[in-house]
Amino acid sequence: MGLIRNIFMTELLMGLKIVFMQMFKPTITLQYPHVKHPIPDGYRGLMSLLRYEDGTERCVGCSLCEAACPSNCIKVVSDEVPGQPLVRYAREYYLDITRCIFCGFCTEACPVDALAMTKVYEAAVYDRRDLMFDKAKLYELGERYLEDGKAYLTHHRMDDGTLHPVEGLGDNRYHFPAVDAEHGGVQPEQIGLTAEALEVEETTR
Amino acid sequence: MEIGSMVAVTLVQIAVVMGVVLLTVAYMTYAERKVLSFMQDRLGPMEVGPWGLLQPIADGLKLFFKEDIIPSGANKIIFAVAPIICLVPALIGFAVIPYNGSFTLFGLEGGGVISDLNVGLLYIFAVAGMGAYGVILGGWASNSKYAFLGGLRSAAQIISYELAMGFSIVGVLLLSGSLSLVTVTEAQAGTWFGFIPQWNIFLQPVAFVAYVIAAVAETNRLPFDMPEAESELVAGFFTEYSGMRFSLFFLAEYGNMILVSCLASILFLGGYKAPLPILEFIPGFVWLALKTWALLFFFIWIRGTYPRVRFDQLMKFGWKVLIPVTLANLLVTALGVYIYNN
Amino acid sequence: MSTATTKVDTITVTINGQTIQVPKGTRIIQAAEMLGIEIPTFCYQPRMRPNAACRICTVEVTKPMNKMFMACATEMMDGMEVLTDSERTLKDRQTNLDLLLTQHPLDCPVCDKGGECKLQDYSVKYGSFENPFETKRKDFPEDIRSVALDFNSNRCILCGGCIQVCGDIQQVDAIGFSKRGFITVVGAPMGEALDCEFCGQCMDVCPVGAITSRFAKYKFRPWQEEKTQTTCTYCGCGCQYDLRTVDGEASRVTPIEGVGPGQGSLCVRGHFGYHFMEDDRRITRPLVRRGDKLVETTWEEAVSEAARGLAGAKAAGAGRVAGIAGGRLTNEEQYLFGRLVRDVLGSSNLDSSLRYGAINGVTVTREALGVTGMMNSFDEVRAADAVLLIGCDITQEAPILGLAVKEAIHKGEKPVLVADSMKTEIMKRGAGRLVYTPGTEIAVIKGLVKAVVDEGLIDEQVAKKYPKAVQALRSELSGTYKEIETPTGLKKDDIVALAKRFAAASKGIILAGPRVTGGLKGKSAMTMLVDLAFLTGGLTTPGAGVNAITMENNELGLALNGMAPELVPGGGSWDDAEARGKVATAWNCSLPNHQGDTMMEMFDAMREGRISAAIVAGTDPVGRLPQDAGAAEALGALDCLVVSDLFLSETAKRAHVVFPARSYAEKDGTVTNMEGRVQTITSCMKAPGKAASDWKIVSDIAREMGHPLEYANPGEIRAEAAALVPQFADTDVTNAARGGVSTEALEAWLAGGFGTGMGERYDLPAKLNEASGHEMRLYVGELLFHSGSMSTYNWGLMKINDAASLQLNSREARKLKIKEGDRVRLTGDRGSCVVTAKPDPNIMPGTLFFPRHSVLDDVRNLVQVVEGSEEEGSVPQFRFTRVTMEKVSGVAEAEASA
Repeated sequence: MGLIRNIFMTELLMGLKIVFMQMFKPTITLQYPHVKHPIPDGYRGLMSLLRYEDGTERCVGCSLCEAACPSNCIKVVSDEVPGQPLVRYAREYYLDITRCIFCGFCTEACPVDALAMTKVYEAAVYDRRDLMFDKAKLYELGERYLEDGKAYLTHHRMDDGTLHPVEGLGDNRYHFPAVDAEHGGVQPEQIGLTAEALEVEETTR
Repeated sequence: MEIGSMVAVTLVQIAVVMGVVLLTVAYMTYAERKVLSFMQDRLGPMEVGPWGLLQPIADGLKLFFKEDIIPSGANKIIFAVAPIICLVPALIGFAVIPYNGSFTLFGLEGGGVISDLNVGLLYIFAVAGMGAYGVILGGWASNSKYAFLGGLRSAAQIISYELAMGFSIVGVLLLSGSLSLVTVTEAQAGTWFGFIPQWNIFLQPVAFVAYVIAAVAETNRLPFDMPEAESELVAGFFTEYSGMRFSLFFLAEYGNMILVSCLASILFLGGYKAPLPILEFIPGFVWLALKTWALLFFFIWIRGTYPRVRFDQLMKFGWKVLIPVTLANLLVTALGVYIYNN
Repeated sequence: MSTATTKVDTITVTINGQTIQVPKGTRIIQAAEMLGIEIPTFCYQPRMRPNAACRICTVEVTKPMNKMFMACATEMMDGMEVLTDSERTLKDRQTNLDLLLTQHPLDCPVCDKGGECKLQDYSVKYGSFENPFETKRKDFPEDIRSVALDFNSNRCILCGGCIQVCGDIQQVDAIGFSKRGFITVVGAPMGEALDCEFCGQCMDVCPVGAITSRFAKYKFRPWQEEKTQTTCTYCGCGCQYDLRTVDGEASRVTPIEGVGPGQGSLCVRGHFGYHFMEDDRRITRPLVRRGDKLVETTWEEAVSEAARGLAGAKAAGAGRVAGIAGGRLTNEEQYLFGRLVRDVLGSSNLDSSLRYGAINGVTVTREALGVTGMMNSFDEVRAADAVLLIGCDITQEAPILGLAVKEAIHKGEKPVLVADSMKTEIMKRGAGRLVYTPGTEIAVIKGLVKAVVDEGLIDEQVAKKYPKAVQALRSELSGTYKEIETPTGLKKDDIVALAKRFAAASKGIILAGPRVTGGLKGKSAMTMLVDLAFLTGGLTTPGAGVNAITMENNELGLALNGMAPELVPGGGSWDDAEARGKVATAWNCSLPNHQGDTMMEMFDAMREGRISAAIVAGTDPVGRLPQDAGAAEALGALDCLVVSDLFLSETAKRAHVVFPARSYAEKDGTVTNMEGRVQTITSCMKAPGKAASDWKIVSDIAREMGHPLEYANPGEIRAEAAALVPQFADTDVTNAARGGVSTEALEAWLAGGFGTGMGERYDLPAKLNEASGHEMRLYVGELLFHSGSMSTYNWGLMKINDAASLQLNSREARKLKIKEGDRVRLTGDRGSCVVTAKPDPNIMPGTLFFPRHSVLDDVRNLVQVVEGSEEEGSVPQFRFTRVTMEKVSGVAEAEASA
């Protein structure tokens, strides 16, 4: 049998038959630019920066994304918001998409959910320099693909989908104590001490 | 017929044949991509024209307008001449391909072949052998190790398989007793028992198989595309070519494919002869086209099926299997013809 | 006095099964550190008493009793066994952290401490991550009223380290706890805004982010920073610190615990004066004079023009070139500069900023004591029994040495005796005070020596061993106290009382400030202090001595490199032919035979055309000296003036070629502090534009002049210099004690310089009693916040203090109806100007103080320069002058005159 098989090359013919039959199976190609796959939530596409509903920038410029980035593609220049002492923000934010490996570590590291990944994967440009995203570009992406960002944060259990912190994960929006340039120091009522407690405080003094 | 009208007829024939061949080359590339895609559950070119039908034209335009790059250190003259050396033999081989029986058109009589040489087959082998020079020279002149290796491989491969190919068709020649391709075709007219066409394939099956294998190797097609093995040699002998020069090599490859397919259909499948007498109302060139296309499809088919063999396997197969088998076939055929004739 | 022979008792203790012998009195945390075992702590500082406030260092003691102890506060007993990683210890640690985290806001992402926070680190290492306690975060408003330091009480864990360092080390008690219980906060007393020396040490010891720097706010993350250990170049203390940079930009300065003269302390200049390197006003390209203007040019062009100018003057005759160097240069640069002037330019007219006064301290100590630099180390000052400060506002002029003096006060409750012309910070904590009329230091010192001689306060051993010398002094000082009391305004009894207190101490250290060495008859005054030290045993007792402090960073380097006409490299005298020969051999050249001109003589020679070219590096004589010194006219008269500096100084504005120089953060090299430590500075920032190290500039000029001085790096220069200046052979950042004065040196001094000129030495200058039409005495001096012009280029320091106001006695001001901010007119012999007044109770009546750094040249130019004689080190006196003060009434008049 083996000899006959060898002489008539049956294995080769079997291969030909299989390939021939394959021609009549339906194709699985999508006509990509015209037809697109639905992108699942939590997809790691281009990075974006988000704002709070009142329009303030979420990013507090803590550089934790920079520290978490395995390909060192993030650069944060933090500073005080001009005219608002003690409020930290990213004066400049750079993300080098050419080096980004889309791992999403930065979004995990972000303590204020300011970073989210969109479903945008078509990043090709004609000028390489356009892939150095700056802060304006990232916020623009965040605005344009806000739904993607929300879906991303929800999918990765960082947010409940309404851009409000998930219950039980702690207050994500950082609280900046009021600045009292006039008086400074501490006023007891500012820490919520009741009138009775204050009385006790006074009597023990 | 006076000489003037002969020249005119011949020129028209050349124009038509060349046009058909080049159009076939163009759409062969399209067909190859399409068929391979279907075999791989894909769609292939779809963007240019309906179902991508204008893709070959777009490709041609693209290649035409591409920058022509000559690598530094290349031998410029040979580098420029090599693709032409490669393409011309592939095209002039069609001069002796009979595409139809004798016919009369607008009062002029045509032979159904540009030139019915009595040594047509020899002529084809002679000019096809020239094509190897184009490959070798192109590889050498590129001043690139990949191209050079590809060229050397090509030379070795063409020499090895040219032998087997020659031996495989000698049987056919014994049967028809002529080197003229028209005679060979005409010898295959008629049927046995009324339903089996008198094609040489039935008398020479082993030769046919050997011929097809050798033809695949001769045209550097998968699974024998060692000279241009992408994974090893980038693109083999035309690694350094770009633009129109590259496309000339490309044309030559596909032209060769069509030539060997035509030859196979003439030698083994009855050429422009209809398989059955009742089908003779269909013109002969349609039959030749159908048979050639079927063979071309087979080329694509095996490309979609088989992986590339190793170079040593290729040489071993050529020298240790194919040549002995074709020699044996020749011996048996000679004996059979001798016995039949006597 | 035999500390070396007292045997230190040792005890044997066991920590985590490891046994170690430690001195008695060692605390658990110290012993653990010796074994390399980490015990977490927030409040423990090696330099301070244990505070035991944070309780995180609790460890389990199993023997001799089974109990939990504070590792930072518990002195170990013999045979004690401690477990730092037992279950009980870890559980206590965790509970402590849980309790701290009930209040801590966990705003780490926006906290500048995040990344180097002890609470973060310990929480990760020892914390539970599931706090069983109810969290109640504080929400105090953050106090940002102070210019340099922000207080965030929410983050504070109340360890008290900041309050301790402010009270124990800095001793200004600027901050403390206020309120109690849960609302306890740290800050300035009475809820006021913090207004202190801004040394920033509270920020350094803060384990969390409760105290942060306003200047570095949110500008860095610790993991982004690169740390470079370097030497502070503001004053002569030469503290070691880490200059931290983010992407090549200075982010902040952090001290290094236990290293360098400061032992981990920094002053405001060191801490916050790191902005000038990046100032926009830096010169970045070489400039050459084209007509009236300085225009930018290429480096090659500038070098060739400088070389052409200098070579032209050199060719015109010997000694037609002068060189003036400053303390901004490193040792290597100074050495090469000296070689350029003396060897390549063949001129002996080489002087430096030593001439502003420090030369007297250096030459006197070298001639009398055989030491260049301070006789005592900072550590010896810390351990001193008594410190006598004369004409030396040490907390302003050398703040870190000031800390050593403060520590001496604190440690032994020992007397610090201060004589000065105003109530200085250190005087307020001193045990004895003398406030004299400005400019009469020499009389005060003479009074002190006289008191020692007259009152029999002479050290017994000295009296026994050197009766002849004592007798010579006794006969010299036979006059009355009248000549001292009149000019100084002091009473005899006060002087005698101070002398008695000083003489009573066994280890007494004298620190003389710039008003002694740079005052009238500065060299004599300094020599008198040596006499005083000699009489009270200061020269024969280890740990005692007499020192002159230097003001500029590398002034001692200038002395060691011989950057004065009377000095040669190695610190020897020019008159010493052997020392000169050694230099000539090393340089393979012949040095000029005659001694060169001092700075003031140079100015005369320049005006008269005897000097036609000069090279000035790292100093600004025009900006430093009053107009009366004539530096501007002198340098303006030159054919060629080559200047290298960081900024376009007043001198540079008059130059023909200006080279951009590098700051200490951009170059490598060594500097010598006032103690004589040779310490390295390391480059860690990119120099702006074409700025180059001064050695490179000198080398380029020398090459252009056809006399190449080629070196690959400063190390090669130092190697060459070390052959002449052995001090440069090793860099030393340890606290080695000084050897004191050798008996031979002392006896040589007594046989030589001590006796000769004693008469002139004790002659008080007539100038002291000179009558003047102007009744107020104006003193132009240094502030803590600004030591010169370099510090004024720091926007941070300028924010803390940019005061250009005249300080006057507050009672006097009330009399004259001058309030703070009022404009007053000062009129002196050299003109008049209008300045803003600021009443200050620490200024004595009849006295005015104006900070030197101020850009208001008018006030400086009021000063009448008194040129010092050659015997007095040729030091010009330019710190005091007499003026009349009157209030400018109308605003219009004030503006018109401004």
